[in-house]
Amino acid sequence: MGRRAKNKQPPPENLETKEYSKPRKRKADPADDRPRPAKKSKGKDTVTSKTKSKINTSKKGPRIRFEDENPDSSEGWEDVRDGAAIGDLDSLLGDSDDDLLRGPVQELDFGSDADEPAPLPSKKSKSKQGGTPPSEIVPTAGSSSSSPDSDWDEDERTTMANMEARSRAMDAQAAADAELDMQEFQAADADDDDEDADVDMDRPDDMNGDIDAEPFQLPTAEEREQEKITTPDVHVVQRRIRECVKVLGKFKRLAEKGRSRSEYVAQLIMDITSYYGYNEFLAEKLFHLFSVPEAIEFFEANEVPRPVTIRTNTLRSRRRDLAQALINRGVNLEPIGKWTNVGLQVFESTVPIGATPEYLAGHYMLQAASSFLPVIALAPQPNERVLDMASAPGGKTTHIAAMMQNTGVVFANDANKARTKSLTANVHRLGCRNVVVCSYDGREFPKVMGGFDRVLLDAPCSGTGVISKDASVKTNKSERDFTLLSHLQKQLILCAIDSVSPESKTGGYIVYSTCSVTVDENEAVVDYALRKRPNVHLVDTSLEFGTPGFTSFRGKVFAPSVALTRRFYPHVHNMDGFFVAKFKVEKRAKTKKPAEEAGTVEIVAEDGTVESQPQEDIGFDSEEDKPYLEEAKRRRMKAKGLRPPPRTKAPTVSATVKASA
Amino acid sequence: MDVSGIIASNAAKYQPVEVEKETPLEVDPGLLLVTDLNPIDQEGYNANLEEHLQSLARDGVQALLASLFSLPTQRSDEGPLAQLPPPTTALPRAKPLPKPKPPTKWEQFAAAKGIQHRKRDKRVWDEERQDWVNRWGRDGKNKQVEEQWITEVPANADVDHDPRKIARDERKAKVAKNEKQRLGNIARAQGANPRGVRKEEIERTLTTARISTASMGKFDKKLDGEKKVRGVKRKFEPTEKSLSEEKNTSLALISKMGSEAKKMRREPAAEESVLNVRKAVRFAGKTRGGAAPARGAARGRGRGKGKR
Amino acid sequence: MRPLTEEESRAVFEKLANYIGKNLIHLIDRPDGAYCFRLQKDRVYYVSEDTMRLGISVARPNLISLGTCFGKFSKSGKFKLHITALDCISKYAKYKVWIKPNGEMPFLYGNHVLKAHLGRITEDTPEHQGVVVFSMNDMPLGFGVTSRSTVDTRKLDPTSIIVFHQADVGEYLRDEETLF
Repeated sequence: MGRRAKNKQPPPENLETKEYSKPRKRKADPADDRPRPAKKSKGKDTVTSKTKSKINTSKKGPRIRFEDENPDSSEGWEDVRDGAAIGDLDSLLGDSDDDLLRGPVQELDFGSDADEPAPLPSKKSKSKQGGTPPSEIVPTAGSSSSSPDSDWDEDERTTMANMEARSRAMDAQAAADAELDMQEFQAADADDDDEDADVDMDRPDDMNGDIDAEPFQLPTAEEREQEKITTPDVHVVQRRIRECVKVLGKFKRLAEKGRSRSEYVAQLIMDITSYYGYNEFLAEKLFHLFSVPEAIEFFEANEVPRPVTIRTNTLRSRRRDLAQALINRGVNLEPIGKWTNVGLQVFESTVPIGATPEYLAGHYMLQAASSFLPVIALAPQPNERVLDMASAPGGKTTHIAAMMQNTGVVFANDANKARTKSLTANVHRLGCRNVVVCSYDGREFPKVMGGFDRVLLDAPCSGTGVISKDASVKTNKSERDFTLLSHLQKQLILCAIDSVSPESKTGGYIVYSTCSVTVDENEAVVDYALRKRPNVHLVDTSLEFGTPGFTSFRGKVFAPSVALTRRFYPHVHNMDGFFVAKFKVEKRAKTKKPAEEAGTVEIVAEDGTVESQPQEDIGFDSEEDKPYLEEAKRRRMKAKGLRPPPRTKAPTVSATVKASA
Repeated sequence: MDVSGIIASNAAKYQPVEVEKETPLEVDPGLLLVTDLNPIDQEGYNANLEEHLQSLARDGVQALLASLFSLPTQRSDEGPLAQLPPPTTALPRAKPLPKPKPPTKWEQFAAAKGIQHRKRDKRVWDEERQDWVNRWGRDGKNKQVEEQWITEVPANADVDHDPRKIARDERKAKVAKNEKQRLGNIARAQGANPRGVRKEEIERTLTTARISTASMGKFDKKLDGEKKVRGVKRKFEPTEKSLSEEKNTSLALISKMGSEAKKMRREPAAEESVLNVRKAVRFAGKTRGGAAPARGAARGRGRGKGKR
Repeated sequence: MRPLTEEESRAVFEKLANYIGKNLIHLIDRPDGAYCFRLQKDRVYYVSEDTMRLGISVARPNLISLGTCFGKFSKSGKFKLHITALDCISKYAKYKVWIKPNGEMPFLYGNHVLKAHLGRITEDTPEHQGVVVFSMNDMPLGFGVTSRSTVDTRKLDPTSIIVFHQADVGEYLRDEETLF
């Protein structure tokens, strides 16, 4: 019975959050501040790139982030290497032994010294969950007390007293740790400018770490070639990744002489490819999204499944009643967090969660936590007309219908006819009476029907955010796939925008979301839409967590408002990688002016000269037309075989052309 | 013997044979009908209705019988039978008057041109025989040429020239033409274009022939300009008609269904539920071989449906 | 999408009347807005007027479903009620059957309701009457047809069938491919 449910939704197996957070718990350990500087350095990096982009945006050449920081990295090369070689033999042995004893290699302790005791108290993991952003999934004590259904606690106490006590203890710990973490984090953020001091402070313990454990040597190009042929040893690769991360964190001090940063990066990407099983293209693409240690965390997080979550169907039940019913069936669950009042996280279950009578009666939907987000951002109101452009298998559609309390109309579209079966089944199971299921290509949409109050476009994507769910993504995506997908997404988003009625009294919103983390499927698409449709602008998604979207990425500069979009990462938020952007459509006539003003501002930035010409009045402007006339004259003379006078005003011509474009 | 006493007593006992009324009763023995045209006696009517009616009826019947006995009789095995005269009272017609026939094509033409109808005699004067003969039919005048014993043949006639045959063919052609016109008139009267009817007929035959192959005509060679066979297009109500109307039809349908259900299925009475009537009937029918009890039981249950 | 013809309406109403009897009128004559029945690809949908009018814009081959699916017409013109109609039926049901928790799963796997699993039953339910099957906490699970009247059930042994299975919510998983 649960077989088909499995196809639709993540398998109802329980995720133990400890498992996942192991690699990060050490990072949280206040004694070990290794990753902190890295994070900060990333922050600094982005900041500098941003400032750069602001200062000279005319310089359009592609900048690679890590290239420009290794002018003199080859000093002390010999010494480091020797010392390491002497001191490390036994530690290396010990390390590998340790690994062998521990069984199959699963995680990287990249942040810790090799011989740190492995079994840290598992509470710590919980604390990590509670402290940093994942606290949104596992609610802290503070969150539950202030959440809208605070009656939850009383409910729980009666049924599962012991568990409550345990979780309370955890929460307390979590709160404390969270405090610590937050302080640390803020401090790190605050002293961006006195970087040098920080580096100095870092130095001592890193020195120690280096001396007693790490004689690391980057393989040469030949070695690498050879390794490609033979299958590399897992432990070696694992260790090399760890070292590369370390070196890249403090490149100036730790790098070997004569090796460039790009070599380290290339080695690291190759190792990621072999260790995690990505194809080279995807590994590189994902790697450049994050700072080095964060990228490893991301890859690591993709190896563990996300928690199983369910959404209460408010058309049929209330969360409290549902939780009670499921607890009686032997399901161990908790509310997801205070950001949603319909979500429940399932820890373990004695019954298949996709085949309980409650499930069949439509009291809940198996749904990843991340797919709550676009609907929350969309915030559909009763009696509206809403379109869900790519809706199968219907988690979001039914969520929308539930939020509209079965009033108005929801159009659930999906291009794939086979998938509309499960969509229809879910719509009916959850008792949504206001849904029209249709099967068009999304790009046909404004032609089929327009005038929607809200449109949700959960675009088809590469699925790089849900690698933990579908590992085939690791290998089967190529550059061409990404090009095609982003092209499709751009078409779809324009169609979505055109389907919305700007006259809508209550709405006029579009939410664009993908379960991908790459920039060319997300920010690039959003930026494209903003450029193509001047009557559309980004608004706040009303999601109180998530990382803001990139405003610039590897040489591409997006509109500053792209920062209003939200990104979600598996390693940060403990949900699938996700992207949410919310647009507001204005009436065309009204928005013309501001759009043009924005255009003039851009000219200023590009030229570097202040040339803000008001272009409102339509008519002949002899000053402006002059270059064109001159150019035409030249052409005429050329055609007659005469020699035209030397061009003097050419640059201005191009500038104006640009401006008019 | 003096029977006057007895007669007197009898006379006192029985009412007179003669019926005397202010307006005499109208008797029509042909229809065995008596009509009493006298106004109703208010007093007697109000005092005792039964008696009043009875006396009226008695008078009527008495008058009828009296008239019957005055009729001529005929002897038969079962005694004398009165011979009824033809009825005099005109009864109203049971069926409506027939509709006038639609005019034929000639009638239409004549009406349009103002041609008066001229009655043609059935018989014509034969100069040779000095007698009136039929215009057509037996020994008809129109057969004269075929039947005369000698016929003039033109000089340039063929070898096989048969004047009798020619005359006969001419006559038969006229008959055929007339018959055709008659049928045409009938068809026109029924409101269908005879050509259209024929065309339809041909087309139907053609369609049937076309799909009467092993592959239902799927793999047959198509002729140039051959049309695709189209089925009957079903007609449905428009999707976007007013819903209140639709609601009313639905409600009407439901109420109709409800009344039908009442008619069809009466709730079985309490004592009936104990006895399985159907089974009992079948049992009885088998042993005695009679259908009568089954019919009776079925009527009793009010469920006369189903084969038996 | 089109309205039902009279015969089709009759077939649908007869089936529905089996379960909800006179309450059928409440489905058609609703105080909270106009609702209607529409046929699309043999499926009968019960849909509100607004939704229907907007749904007209969708071309016939592309329209998959709208409103609530009540069931489908077989090729021979018979109407089969689907589990998706359970919402409406359970709301107006005249006769109900409640089954014990240990009987829930067998029923959801498509089995008949045995007497051993019977929790409660509406009084004076006649024989061969359409009933809605509920779990003990009033969750509608499906519908069926009684095999005996309420009075007769007393004499039966625990393994005998009380309600013949017609449809259950388990079909959402089992028959997802054929249901829509």
